[in-house]
Amino acid sequence: MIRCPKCNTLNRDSSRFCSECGAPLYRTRIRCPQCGTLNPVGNIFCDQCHTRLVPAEETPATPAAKLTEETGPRVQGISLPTRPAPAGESGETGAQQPMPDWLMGFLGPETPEPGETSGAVPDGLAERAEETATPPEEPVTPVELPDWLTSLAEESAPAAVPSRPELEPAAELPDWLTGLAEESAPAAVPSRPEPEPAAELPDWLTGLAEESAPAAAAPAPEPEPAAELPDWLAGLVEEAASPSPAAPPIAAEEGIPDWLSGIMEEVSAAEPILEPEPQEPEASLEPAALPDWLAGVLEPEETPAQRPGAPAISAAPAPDWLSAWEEDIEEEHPIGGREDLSAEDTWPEQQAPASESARMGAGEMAAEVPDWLRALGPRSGAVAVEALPEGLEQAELPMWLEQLRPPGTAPLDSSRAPEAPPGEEAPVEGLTRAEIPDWLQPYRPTATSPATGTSALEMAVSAPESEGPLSGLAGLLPALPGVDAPAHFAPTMAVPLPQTVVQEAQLWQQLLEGGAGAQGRPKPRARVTWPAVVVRVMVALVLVLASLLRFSETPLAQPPEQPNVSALYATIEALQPGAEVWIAFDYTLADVDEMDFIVEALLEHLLSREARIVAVSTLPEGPGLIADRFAWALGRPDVSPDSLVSRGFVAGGTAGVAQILTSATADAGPHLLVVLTSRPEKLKAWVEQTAVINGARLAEGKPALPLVAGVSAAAAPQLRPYLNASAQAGWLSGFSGVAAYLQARGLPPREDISRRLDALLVTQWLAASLLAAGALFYLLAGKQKTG
Amino acid sequence: MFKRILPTAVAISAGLLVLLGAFIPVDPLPQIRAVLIDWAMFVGAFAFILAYLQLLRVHLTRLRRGGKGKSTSLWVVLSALVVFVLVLWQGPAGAVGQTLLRGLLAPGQSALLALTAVTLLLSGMRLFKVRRNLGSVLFLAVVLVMLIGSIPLAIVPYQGAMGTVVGVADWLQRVPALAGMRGLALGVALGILLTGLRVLFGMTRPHSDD
Amino acid sequence: MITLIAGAIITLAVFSYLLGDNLLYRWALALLVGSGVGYALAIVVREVLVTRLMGTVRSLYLVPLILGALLLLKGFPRFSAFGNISMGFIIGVGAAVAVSGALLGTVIPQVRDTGAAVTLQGGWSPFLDGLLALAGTILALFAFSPRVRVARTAEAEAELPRPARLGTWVQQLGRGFITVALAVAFGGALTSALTLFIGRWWAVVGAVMEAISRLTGS
Repeated sequence: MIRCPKCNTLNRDSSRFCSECGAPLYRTRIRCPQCGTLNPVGNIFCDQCHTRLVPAEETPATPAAKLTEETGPRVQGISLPTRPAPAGESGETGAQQPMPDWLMGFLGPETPEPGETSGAVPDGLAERAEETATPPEEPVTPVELPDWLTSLAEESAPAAVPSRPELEPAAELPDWLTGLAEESAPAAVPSRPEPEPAAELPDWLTGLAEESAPAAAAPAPEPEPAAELPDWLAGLVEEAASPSPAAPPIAAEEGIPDWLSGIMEEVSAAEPILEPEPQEPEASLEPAALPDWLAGVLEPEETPAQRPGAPAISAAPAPDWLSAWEEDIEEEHPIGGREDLSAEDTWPEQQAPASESARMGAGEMAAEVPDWLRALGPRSGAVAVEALPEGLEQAELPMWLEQLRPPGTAPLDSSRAPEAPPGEEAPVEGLTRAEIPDWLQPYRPTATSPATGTSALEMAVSAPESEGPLSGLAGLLPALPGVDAPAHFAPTMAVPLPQTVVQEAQLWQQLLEGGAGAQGRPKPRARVTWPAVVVRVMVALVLVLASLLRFSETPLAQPPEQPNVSALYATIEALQPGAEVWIAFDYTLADVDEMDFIVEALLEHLLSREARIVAVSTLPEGPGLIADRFAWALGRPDVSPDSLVSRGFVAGGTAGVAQILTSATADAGPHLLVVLTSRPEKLKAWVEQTAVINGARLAEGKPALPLVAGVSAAAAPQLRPYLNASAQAGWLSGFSGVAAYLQARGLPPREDISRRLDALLVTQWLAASLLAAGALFYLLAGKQKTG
Repeated sequence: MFKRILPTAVAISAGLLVLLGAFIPVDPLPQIRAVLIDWAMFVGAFAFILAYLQLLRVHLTRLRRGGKGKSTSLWVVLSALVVFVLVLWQGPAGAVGQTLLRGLLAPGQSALLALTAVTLLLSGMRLFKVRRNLGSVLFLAVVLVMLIGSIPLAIVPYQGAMGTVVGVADWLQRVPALAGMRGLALGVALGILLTGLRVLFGMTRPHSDD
Repeated sequence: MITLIAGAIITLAVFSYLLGDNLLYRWALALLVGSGVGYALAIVVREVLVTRLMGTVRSLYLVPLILGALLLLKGFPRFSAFGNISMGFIIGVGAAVAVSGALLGTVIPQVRDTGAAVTLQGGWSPFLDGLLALAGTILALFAFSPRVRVARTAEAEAELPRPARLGTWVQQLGRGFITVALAVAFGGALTSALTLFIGRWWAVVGAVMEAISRLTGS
């Protein structure tokens, strides 16, 4: 069954849309990198070859650190899951296990077949994931992800990935994490496009070349129903760009992730996802849509279409010059494997939004490259990559920004020729230094750059980048630390933020707060406070005192009159000497303290009737219990060892019961069957199989096999329908039943039984008083609150 | 073949033979039924073994990997190995087996179940904190009557108030509780019938990999 | 004596949970789990495999032995598919046994007994009890019916058509019977737990007194 990410309704596996709300459903299967088997989401190991599909278990102390040192270079930031290519087949079963709704939004359509990439996982990531795939070391057990907020040290959680707070204890790993092990699965990483043999330009580039209107761009993203601009972000946003004309919505068949559909406007589905290029989860963008910052460059008063921050995804493969550049990027910034991403899965608020927004922003910038940039060749337009790999907040600057490098700092790339400023037709060679555009002026590092305080923004504004392609430049990404660290953000300047960045931050805010609305806030494990411990200890002490103290020399309790006990007595009393009686010892060791008395009472009566007892059990602890009780019985006078036979343990549960009865009734069969149990399902099995056997016996003209039972007090209420059935010949339950049975036999009351019965009476009355007191307390407390 | 077709064929054929042997007492169906059930009991023992080995494997893996829970896993594995060897050697009736049973397993498991007395009591005391409605009132009232009325007081004459409470407790068990439990039992049995027939007709295949 | 003292120690270790989750409790739990697993494994191997295979008619167990060995392959991912045959066999036989038992042992007897209780033979009181039990059984079955619409608020209920309102009441009444049944079960569970609680503390006190008497020689 697939759970709708919006309304949480369970839908059939073949459903593509929710039957309740109509939201697209996403197939959720993970392809094993080893054998290619499709596994349900949440599997840690492949069902077929047991290859590990998710990162190895990490220690609770330093999960991120451990993963980092185990798995290689740490990739900055975190990536959203990409939207995979729409799978050709439909009706593929989706998630078979419930997923948190906010995670469902990450899930794309069914993972594409090998050979077709949905554009999510860059080759480097996939390769690395394959390299780091470890052989299965643990059995496929249901995953219990540790609540990263409360404890990363769940003993029963073999999952390596620290879960999001929203993940329930029994939740499965998100698809985007598990899917990283797939050969070509869509993953969280916005992948870089693979070099395509064809040299045709992607549509977004073509569109940019034509400088077509952004009319067909993605429509304004719809805010999430409950979305609010986070306070920390509200101060940053100047003015959101006005929505562009609505474009045809993305075909639902492409399976827009829910988290994306909430922030996206209708995105054109004109261009299918490029295959085998990995792509962003966001919908395809109209090629002509310009990012805000770029639109501001070209036409400052225009507000370009808003779109999600994903780069355009076109149907055409990237040109060779772009592919070559992409390879260079990949070399410089190798994308880590799953483990790297897992390291990011601690979801530090400072990291995820930053990297994501950086990626998104970069991607956005990359999506719309003016032709002046396009013409600059392989080493230009670093941000013109269609889908940027993770960590490309450190991506290479476009050459036209080279001119902004502060004097005295190392050039980004000495081989690069300076590029023409935006808006100009730059020649391929011999680029001249361009003027700094107005919108970029505030980012120039100056001697009077604010350096007071320790706010992230101030530091970002004042300090030049120390590494990466932005090294030497200061204040180029002032908004991102603010997005990274909303709690510490103190904006010192008005930063025009693209709407996509704003919406992306909104999404992160929602995710961190509990997802797309359907999931509540993470519930930390209830901590036991000292008053609770005190109450618990007090209640236990009171019960202990009531159990041990003797309140009266004369018995306080009298055994209740029970007709079932009288019937049981009558049945056993009617046995002839030498009659074969089968006793099933089917109670657990936990109930020994209670069942011992029942066993002794019945055994004593049966032996007094000179019955031949055959003991059997369908529980492994049965033979030990039988030996123990037989040892007790043999200590009594006039009991012959021949009258006690043990058949031992019979495996198979209900089939074992059937086997015992079938073999027992093959000949004359027993005269009576006594079932001693503390588990309702055991007596139920015996009653049912006895009814089957009796049907055959009656058909053969043999008498039906009578059944009596001795059950614990806990099992008796559930077994009433079976115990009270006309086929049963009596039963007794609990300690009070033993006392009643001994009374029915006319035996003098035993001191130990009498004292225990008194203790039970007192504790039961005490329990009733405590229950009533608790009810009264909370009733009055509730009235006070409402009053 | 091994994943789906053969297991399904085996399940359906074995199941139908057992079912026919139960309802049609014509030779050799009951004998075939008896043999198949005997085999199933034997194979069930292997399922037991597999389940226990799987549990040990989890703890062994945790031991090898380290981390939190290593000490408890060590206890589990060590105690399992020691007890297995001793009981296999002497049997359940041997001195070691009996000492283990009476000195460790029975008291320990009994104590675990005895702990539920405190937890049940505490949860019952908080019932009205969690839910305050007619159902909770009915629930609590019945529990109180059961606790007080299940064991009559010897010091109070049976007739009178005590007798009334005991009578009400007995009636509650004989009539409304029985009706409720019977409804539940019937529902469960009908569900088992449906599921079992689905398995026997191959509509549900829990044994195969699809 | 050893069993007494050991039992008391393990009891106190388990009861230490009342003071909060602690290492002693977890170790005691681990010991119980491990011992239980080892004990059960030994019993299964000894009582079933060894006894059956060493006993008479060994050849008859060739097929189940092969099936059992195939079942053990389930623990190895590469060969787990072979274990499906054994699983199919167990499930098929188990399903047939369960179906026959459920029909002959539960459905038919329960329906018969429910109807048989509605009789005037014992007088009006048993007749009314039987009638109430019959009604309660049917209502309890309806309580879980998904087809009956349940109005969760008075306003919603007022908007329902009359048959649906009746369905709401039917479900509510059914839930009432089930509430009573569960309350009785709760009482029984509490009684059983209290019995064990008393037994454990008596055992602890008994062990302490036995130890004292042995130490003092009295």
